[in-house]
Amino acid sequence: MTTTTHAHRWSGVWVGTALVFLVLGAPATADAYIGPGAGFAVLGSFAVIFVTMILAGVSILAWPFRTVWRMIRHRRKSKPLVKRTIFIGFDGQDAQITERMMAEGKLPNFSRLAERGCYRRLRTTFPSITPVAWSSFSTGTNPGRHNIFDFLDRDPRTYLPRLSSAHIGPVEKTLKIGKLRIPLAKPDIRLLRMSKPWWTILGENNIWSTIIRVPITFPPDKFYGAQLGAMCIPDLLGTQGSFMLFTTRPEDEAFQEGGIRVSLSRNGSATSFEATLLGPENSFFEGNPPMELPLTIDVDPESGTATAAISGTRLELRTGELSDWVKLDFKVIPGMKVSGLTRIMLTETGEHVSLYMSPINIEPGKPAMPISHPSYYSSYLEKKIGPFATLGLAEDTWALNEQITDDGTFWTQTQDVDGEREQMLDIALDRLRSGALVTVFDATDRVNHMYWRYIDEGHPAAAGVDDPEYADAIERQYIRNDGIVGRTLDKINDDDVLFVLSDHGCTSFRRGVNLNAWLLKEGYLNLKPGADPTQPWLQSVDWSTTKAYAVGLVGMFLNIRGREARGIVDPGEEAKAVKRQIAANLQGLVDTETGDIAINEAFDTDTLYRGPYKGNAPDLLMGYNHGYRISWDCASGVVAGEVFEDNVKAWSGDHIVDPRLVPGILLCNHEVSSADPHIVDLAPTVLTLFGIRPAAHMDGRPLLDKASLK
Amino acid sequence: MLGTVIDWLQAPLSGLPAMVGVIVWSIPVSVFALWVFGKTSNQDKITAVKNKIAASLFEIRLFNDDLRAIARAQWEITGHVLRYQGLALVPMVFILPPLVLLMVQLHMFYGFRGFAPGETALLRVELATTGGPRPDLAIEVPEGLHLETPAVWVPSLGELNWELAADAPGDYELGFTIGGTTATKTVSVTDRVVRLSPERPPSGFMDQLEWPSEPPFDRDAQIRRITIAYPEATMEIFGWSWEWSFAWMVVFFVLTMVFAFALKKPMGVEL
Amino acid sequence: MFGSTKVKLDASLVERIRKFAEIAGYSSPEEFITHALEKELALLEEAGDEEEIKKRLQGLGYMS
Repeated sequence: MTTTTHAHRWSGVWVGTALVFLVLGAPATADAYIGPGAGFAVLGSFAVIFVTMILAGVSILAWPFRTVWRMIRHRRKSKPLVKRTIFIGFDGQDAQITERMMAEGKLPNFSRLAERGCYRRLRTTFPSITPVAWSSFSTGTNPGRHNIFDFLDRDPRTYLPRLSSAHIGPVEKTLKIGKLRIPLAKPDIRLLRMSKPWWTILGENNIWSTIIRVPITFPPDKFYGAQLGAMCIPDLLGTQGSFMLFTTRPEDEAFQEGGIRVSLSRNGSATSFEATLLGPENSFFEGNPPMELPLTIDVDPESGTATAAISGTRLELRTGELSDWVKLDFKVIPGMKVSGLTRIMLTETGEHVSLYMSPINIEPGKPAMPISHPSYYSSYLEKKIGPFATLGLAEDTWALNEQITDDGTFWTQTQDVDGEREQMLDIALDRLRSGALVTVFDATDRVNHMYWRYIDEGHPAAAGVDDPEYADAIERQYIRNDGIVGRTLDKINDDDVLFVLSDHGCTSFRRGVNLNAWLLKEGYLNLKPGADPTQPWLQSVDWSTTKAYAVGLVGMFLNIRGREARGIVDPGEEAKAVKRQIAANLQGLVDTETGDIAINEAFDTDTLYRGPYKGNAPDLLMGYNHGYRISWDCASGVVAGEVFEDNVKAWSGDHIVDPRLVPGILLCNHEVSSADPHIVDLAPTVLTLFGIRPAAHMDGRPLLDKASLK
Repeated sequence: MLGTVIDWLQAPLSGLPAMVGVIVWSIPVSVFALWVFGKTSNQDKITAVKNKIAASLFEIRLFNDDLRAIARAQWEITGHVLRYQGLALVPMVFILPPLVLLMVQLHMFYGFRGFAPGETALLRVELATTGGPRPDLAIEVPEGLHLETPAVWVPSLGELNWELAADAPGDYELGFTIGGTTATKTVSVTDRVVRLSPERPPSGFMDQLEWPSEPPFDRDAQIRRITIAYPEATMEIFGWSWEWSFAWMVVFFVLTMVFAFALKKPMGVEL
Repeated sequence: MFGSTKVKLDASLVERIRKFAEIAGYSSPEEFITHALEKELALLEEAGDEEEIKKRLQGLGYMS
């Protein structure tokens, strides 16, 4: 009876009222009166605190053991000279433009950094191309030791190009149940960049690194630190970035090509449309059918707006305006989905309706492929800054080339990706108390590529100059970079070392050179009788009489017996002779139409590279002159056409030239010892800064030492 | 009025075990609370703060070698959690009043059980005046009930107590006469889940809110309140009996949470 | 290392590998062994599906 009385006193309204105050205090059974929503808030938050307490407790308890274990495993041999070493990479930032703008006072923070330490031109790799140069940065070796010679490699069995940096194999083991195939193993995804990146060596010495978006980190390295992968992370479809165009324009209409075209069909009314997005292949079912998502659009032609619905998201679209990231969930099997991120833009609402969809990025919160180390690092960043681009080459240059998007859209894309990157840098820098940090910004390279036609008078693509607003896009990008440098300078201490660098520069790409057409003309390459030379992927080539061919972006291969499937050139003296002959013929090759020299030199990679992988390199590397590059046709294995042709695409600047013409930049808050530093010098430098003797296999020399830090 | 609606809704459940009734009630309550939570809370801010909490948890894992980083993440989590609770306060203001009203009503059904024939319970009449000799109060007990003991007078509390015994099932009304005025009090002898009235309250907002089953006494009446100590209800949970008048509330709370969790995705509400 | 399997090798072979790995420019004996085996495997393994390989390159800015 006393309990009843007691209960009565505590019951009802009093409990409820008291609870409002109790909410911020201890949880009690009386929480009942708050109801589920708030109940969650209260209990949920206590659960969080509880879990973190446990986590923290376990971490703290385990800390001494872990520290001892790491000390035993990775004996630190000498004392670091610095607390933190920070690298900010601006992919493709050109030395000449930087120097001019610094002289004009447009880059005050670059100048400030140069005054505190130094500014140098940074020699780049042969070839001067992102995957090669950054791999040399990572490993401190020449390409002969890290195995990345180009974006592309060729399969000597088939002569087909393939991605040089990552191998993605199918899942070998599956369990078949009817039409269902349940994978029993992970697909074989391998990084083909060899040797050992400096962050792995730092980790072996107990030093933490945070490596954000350094190219050629897919799949990511495993080491003591965190890494967000970059080039060549594919999109969700497995390509290097395929945009989609949903359009009512008929298939046969000579519109733009490229990308993936999806037809929009009317859905009852004149302003209502629907389409089916074919997503990634579903490997759980026989025949790998693509996973589908329906898309509907209701257009208001008057105002040029539309409402689109896809994957549970409703979007208000305005012509020419990119949406924010939209999450797309593809159902694999019940209870399992893969997610991607895309940005959508209405491109026309008049007679025809078209909708642009950017390449579907792997969603970083629950990535479908390994894009970071540890695997939750991308989820962590996603929780911190929201959705972000994960695609290796995240900026959609293809859509701009095809004029599906315009200069403004591309600018928005690059700047937004740059913004995401800067947030990542901020977070990482803020949390790095000792160790190394690298963040690479890609926008400069992409902006150089796509807006060069604005700064090169008489460029064949200048006719495509559509918006004077972007005439100074390149300068604006460099000024933006200057801001990033300034903000970072303000955050670092005296005992930190800061490097700002680029992997190469940029120059004009006015004319393309079709090396295969040249080889055909010179008799080194022959066509199969009756074959159509406009076919891509060298399908028209008669291998039984062909001595040399060009695959990839940077060079040329000999058709060597025993190496190539249908090789005819003997690997010994004959190969040397053919190579010498071709090199001599290409040296100083003149563009008959303009009278300019197109190729300064064709380098023999046998003398250029040292190391165990040099056999995988092209036999000759082209040193194009300013204004020249491999032509679009040649890059896709088309033999037909003239040797030289105008480049009229928006992609109007490039750096696949004689590497001596496009050096990168190096700035440091300390004076570096070398007057002529090379990108391979940075890996031994960072090891030296942390008191580790540069590894024997490294080609570079340290740029800083104990003396230069004083 | 709410009482009538509840009686009507509760009617089909009266023959069922209490557990079933609680389950049935918790579903619409979860839906309602979720809906209100979704409408009245700042969903974007809740998502943002939850992301921050998750990020800090990742940080503890990521930097598990760095005690300062762990401490910092822990500290940040505490801040985010406080903010999270702050964000839950607004919807609570909207959810709480109707829910309190409903739960007080339901407490009349699920907090206690009716007498069984042969059982006794304390009947207590609290008078407006205390002290002095035993007042002259006549009690009229209908057939089916009887008094086990004569009235016990507690002058300091102004209370008269009896042991009331039940003989047969039924809804009864006790009559009280004092100083020429009369008053009544319901008594239920039943094994069904029905509305009980453990107390006929004095006038006053809080008392009426707490004991809504019978009309309150007038402010100047000689009787302040009459209570009947019904036995506490028993919740049967997977064969386990839990006898406590608030047991149903705990079950109800857990169930509404479970349903809310299950329904938050379909209803698109971030909790 | 991570996700690796141990293989037993003759001690003198390992010694020779160790010596020549550095001379050849490998970063570790493991890299030397891996490369040697990969080269042999490449002679045995079949080329991947052509369409799949082409698809993987789709969208590479330098080509399209």
